[in-house]
Amino acid sequence: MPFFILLIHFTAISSYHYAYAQQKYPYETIIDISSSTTISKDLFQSINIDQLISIAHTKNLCNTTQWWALLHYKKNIFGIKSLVDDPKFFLAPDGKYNPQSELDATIRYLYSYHEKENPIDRFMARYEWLKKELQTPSPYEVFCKKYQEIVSFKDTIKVNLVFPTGYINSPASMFGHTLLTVQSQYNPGLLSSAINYAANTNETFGPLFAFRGIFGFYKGYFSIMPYYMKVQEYSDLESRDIWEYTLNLNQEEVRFMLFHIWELDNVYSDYYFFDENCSFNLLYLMEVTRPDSHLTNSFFFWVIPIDTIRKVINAGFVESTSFRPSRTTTINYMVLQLNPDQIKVVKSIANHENKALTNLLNSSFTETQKIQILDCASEFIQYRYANKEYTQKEYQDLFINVLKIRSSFPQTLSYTIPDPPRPETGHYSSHIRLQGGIFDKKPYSELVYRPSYHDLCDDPSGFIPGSQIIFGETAIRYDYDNQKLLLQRLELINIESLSPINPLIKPLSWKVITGFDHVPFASNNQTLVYQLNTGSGYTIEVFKWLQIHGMIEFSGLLNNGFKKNIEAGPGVSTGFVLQPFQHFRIRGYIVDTYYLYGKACNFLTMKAIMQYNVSQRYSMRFEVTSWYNEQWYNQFSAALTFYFW
Amino acid sequence: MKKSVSLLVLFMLVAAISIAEAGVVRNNAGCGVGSMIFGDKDGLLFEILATTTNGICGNQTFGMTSGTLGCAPMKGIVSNEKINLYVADNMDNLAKDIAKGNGEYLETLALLMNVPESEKQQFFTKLQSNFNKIYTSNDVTSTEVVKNIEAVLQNS
Repeated sequence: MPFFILLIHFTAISSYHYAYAQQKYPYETIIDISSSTTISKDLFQSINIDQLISIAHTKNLCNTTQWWALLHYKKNIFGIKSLVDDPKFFLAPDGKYNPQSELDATIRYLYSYHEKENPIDRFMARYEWLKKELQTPSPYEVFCKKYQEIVSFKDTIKVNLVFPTGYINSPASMFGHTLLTVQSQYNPGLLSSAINYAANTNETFGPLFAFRGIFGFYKGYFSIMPYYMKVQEYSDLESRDIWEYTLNLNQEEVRFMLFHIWELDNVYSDYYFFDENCSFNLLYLMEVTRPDSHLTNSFFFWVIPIDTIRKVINAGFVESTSFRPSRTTTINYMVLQLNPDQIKVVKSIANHENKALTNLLNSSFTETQKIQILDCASEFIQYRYANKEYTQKEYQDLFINVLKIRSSFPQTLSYTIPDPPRPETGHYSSHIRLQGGIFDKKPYSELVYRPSYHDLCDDPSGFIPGSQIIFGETAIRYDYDNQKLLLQRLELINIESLSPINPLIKPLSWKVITGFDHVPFASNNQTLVYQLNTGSGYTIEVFKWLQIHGMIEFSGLLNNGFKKNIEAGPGVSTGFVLQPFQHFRIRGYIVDTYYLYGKACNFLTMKAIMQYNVSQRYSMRFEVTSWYNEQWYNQFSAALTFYFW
Repeated sequence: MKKSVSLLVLFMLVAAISIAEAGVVRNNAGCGVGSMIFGDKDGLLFEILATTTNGICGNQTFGMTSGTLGCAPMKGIVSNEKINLYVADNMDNLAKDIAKGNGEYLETLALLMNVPESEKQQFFTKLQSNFNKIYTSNDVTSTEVVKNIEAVLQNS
């Protein structure tokens, strides 16, 4: 009875005070079909399959949006094709490519006699829809237990689209992830069932994993687990805040979605990292309920989770939104409520200091202050254990001892962490930038295309604070002096994480920048150089609106114009990010690199960017850059940015 | 130039890993036996059983992340296994909420135990004030915790 478990996975079973009474499940009708019940052949005598098929042809059912959504059909220049790759999802031999023959085969399958199997078990959503369109119920319906369970479930079922935000320290999850949760009054919140789409692999070797992922060598499946497992994974271990969007599906739509989930049980589609990924496949579960929403249309090349969320919101699926702060967000909030003396105590507790807890009890702090210390300490201890800073034994002793003392104060405190701006309110994830400027006293125009995603001068609302994630930014420059068009820059990866430290949590700031760029090296005469620039250090938040950072760096440049083809060496950098008022951001930094290997020279880069973020769609920026290597090179530019998707 | 070509290929691969979403299961919850995927012919049913394994084993203690027990799935969930399972899978967060006297994990326990809305506050206070009786040692197991909660409630 799998469905039964899906919904009532965590129904309250034993009553208060442990009477262990078996609770009745909330079905309207009593479902009593033993699995051995066989269906009689006579029931099919009255069904004229050819007539049903001809009705389907007359109504042109095979070209309806509903049929295409159910079968995941897409049309491209090569013709029609279903994105599902598992052969057992299709009944007709050419079903993957032919909506018409698949529909005919489906009608034959659902309405004809089979000795051993119940066809509705396999294709519940297809059946539910055809039954209405053909106005003919199949004799199998009353014999399909799962179907009966779903239609007779009494309680209101709610579905949420869940968005764990990006995790900048894991390359595979920088853009976040999406999943669905299904809940009723019997399994709300943490107890709801999480429905997740993922590639099935245990590959841990990065490059192979990437190669297979890009070219669709993994099979993607839907899976289900208690939502609290996911909350632990994202919120507790990976410090990712979670957004939950409650969908406004009516009960008929919810049922249809469940039918379709059931249809996809154990059915695979090839998993492609860029486009046919978790977020994309999840869209189908929503699209089948309202096929005219066309949620899965008009994506190409890549699908970023936040773009799918915007699409679902714009299609009118969402009724409310809630925020679930991660453990790190919770600790950061708690730290703000504490005074420096309290923070000291939290640290001494977490550091196992002798008598830290006894001293706390005897201290002059008020009771509320003591509770704040203990609450913050228990979160902080869990955080440090997740970072493997304690052994399990150390952790158990520390954690339980803190909680024991905490439990001796009956007072409860609520920590209401304010919601940050919602992710969908952020700027769109691709942009085009038109730029005009002067380099070394020569004017130029530049067209910049950034496929994804966000930089430190863009409006940070809705993004991970202090993050910069850029992939594939391409700049084509027209030089008026030489009258030449050239590839100025191709930034394959540009990731910076500047998350500020606080007295308790001290994340490392880091960056990885690599790609092709014109680096004004005196000896190099302005050709395209392949560069790698990495660094790590710390960021300090001086005020809410000013962060400064410092890093130790390593850089390498590759070009066959260089003496040894390579220039490489260490460097240092420092910079700031300033937001003097809303929508206006200024960033400045200095990088000094000493190229030990190669020419043995010093190379200095200074840059200042000012950006005014007009809206989700537009921004304006002004940049000044100076390089020094034997001589100064200066560049000034102004740009207009249009964000889209 | 060969070098730069191979470097480029390498970085493209890194970029590719990065664009990919988190939707790849590498480390499954459960006991490592049940894949998170509907891979088994039992489908969803197997799935749920796989994620309940920790609870059935009843050995969960503080600081265990799922997947560390390595026990085999068992069939036949009996009535109070839901509570055992929930307590086992949420040992740490539940203990914290009980000590604080509020929180989502505690609310969820009350729901699982059918505590009426009107008695909830009393239930929370009772568990909080008996924290030492519930968490009798630093490496108490989840089954003991459930038993101790039961005992505390019956002694009211």
